[in-house]
Amino acid sequence: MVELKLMDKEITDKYKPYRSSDGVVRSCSLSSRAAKGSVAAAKTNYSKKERELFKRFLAI
Amino acid sequence: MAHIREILLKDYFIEYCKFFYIENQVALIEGRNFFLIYLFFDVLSDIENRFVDMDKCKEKVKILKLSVDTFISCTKMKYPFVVQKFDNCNLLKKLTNQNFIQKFNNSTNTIFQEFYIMYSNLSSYKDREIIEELLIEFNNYLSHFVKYMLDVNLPSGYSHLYRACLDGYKDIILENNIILISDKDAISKFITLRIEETDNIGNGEEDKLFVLQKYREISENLLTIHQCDS
Repeated sequence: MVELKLMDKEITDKYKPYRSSDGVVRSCSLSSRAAKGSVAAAKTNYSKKERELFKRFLAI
Repeated sequence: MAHIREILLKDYFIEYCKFFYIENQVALIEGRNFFLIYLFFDVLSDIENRFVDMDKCKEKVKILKLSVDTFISCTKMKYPFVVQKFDNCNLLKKLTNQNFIQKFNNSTNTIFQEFYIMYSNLSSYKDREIIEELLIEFNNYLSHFVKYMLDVNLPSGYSHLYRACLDGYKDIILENNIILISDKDAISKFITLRIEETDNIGNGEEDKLFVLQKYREISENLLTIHQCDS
């Protein structure tokens, strides 16, 4: 079996995934190359079920 | 333990393949589905993290699958002519190949960790989870990686994650440049880094990882000062 290389403890202790979303997609002020480049518009017409699943996911 | 993660990783890529063929067809009409792209980022972060509980990881993969299926059924209802090109059985055969994990580790591990660190820093600084410009690069990376799995001669998508990391750190530096210019040591380090970056233009991203790590160091110092000031 080939082992997966996984994140070490130092990284996961220091950089815990950040959670505070209200589930709303907002525009970004990122002033980098990416902001001027290939960013498509964000989908806004999520169905009720899609929004519910997203909230359920964030709650885990 | 690693075996369960391998299974989850395979399930993850099957879901991604299902998602990306359909989403690409409608992205310019409907807009990019950043909810789902964020879910893909979050799940990969957990699969890659040995300290995340397996049950939590499985639950997330389950909701990811439900979300992808919901997205596909909603899209097909609205646009009956969208085509699902990927055959799950054929894909599963490719993913069952042992080389898959090796390919994933070789092409992804270090740069994904850098991306995860940068995203956590920027997300916390901007106080929001969905940062579209970075997620689009993550999505580009995944779509390249899927192609790379099928043909190793194609690029693995590494450069998309590298570019996203640079963009994220440059954003932190730009927004905190007043702090930067007020510290002689920091500005001197930063100018040296810019020279190194310029000298390495044209070299492969994998040879320039040190540039990224120096950007991280400077950005994290700025974030620490920014937090102390506020």
